[in-house]
Amino acid sequence: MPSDRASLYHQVLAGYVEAGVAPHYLEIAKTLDWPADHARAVLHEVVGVGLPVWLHPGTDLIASFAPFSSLPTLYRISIDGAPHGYAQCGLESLALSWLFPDREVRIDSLCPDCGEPISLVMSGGELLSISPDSVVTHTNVPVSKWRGQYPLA
Amino acid sequence: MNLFRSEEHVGRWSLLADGAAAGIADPRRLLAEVFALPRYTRRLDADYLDRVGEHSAGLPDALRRVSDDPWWAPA
Repeated sequence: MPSDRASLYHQVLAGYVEAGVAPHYLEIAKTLDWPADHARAVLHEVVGVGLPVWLHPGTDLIASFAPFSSLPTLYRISIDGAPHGYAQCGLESLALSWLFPDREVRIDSLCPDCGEPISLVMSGGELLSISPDSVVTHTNVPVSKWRGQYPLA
Repeated sequence: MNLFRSEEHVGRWSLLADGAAAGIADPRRLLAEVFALPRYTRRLDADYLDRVGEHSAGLPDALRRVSDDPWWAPA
């Protein structure tokens, strides 16, 4: 039986997969038949685990929950051609297709240097196309320092 | 963490941090080595958070296969 933390984590991710946006903790409480204060407390526990998930500062609102973002980023997601919100970052965009089995996941972005377009198409963990062919990923923060400053990495 | 059109574009980026040229990686390599780990493929499992440590066991080695530069070494 999954722990309460695992159940809440699953509800958040499933919410993004279904609708492209994060559920509010009150919605999670209703779904899981929990008291609202319990869902709020567990949400903060999950954020404290150290994974790349965070709330808008000073609130209970989910700002980003890897591989998704509630805030606009450079990484627009389309599922089978339909817009589906934003990826957390360029690296996490590569992890998206596992959440949409048998669907085509497309990422449309812009190069931070020149503003010209970049696109990726994936399915089932496989890269179907990448444009331009020379695309690279980049992290501006050493991996050992990601925790605590994920939004800047 | 961003996608750039090429390594040259990373080098020209106005916000590139000191020493961060080492942060470049091939997305195909990341997909094959890192994002194929259970840490990423099992995220929708109902008990994922309870098992994330187990699912992440291969991450340090996978990152090493992407790059042996200290920039990519986990904490």
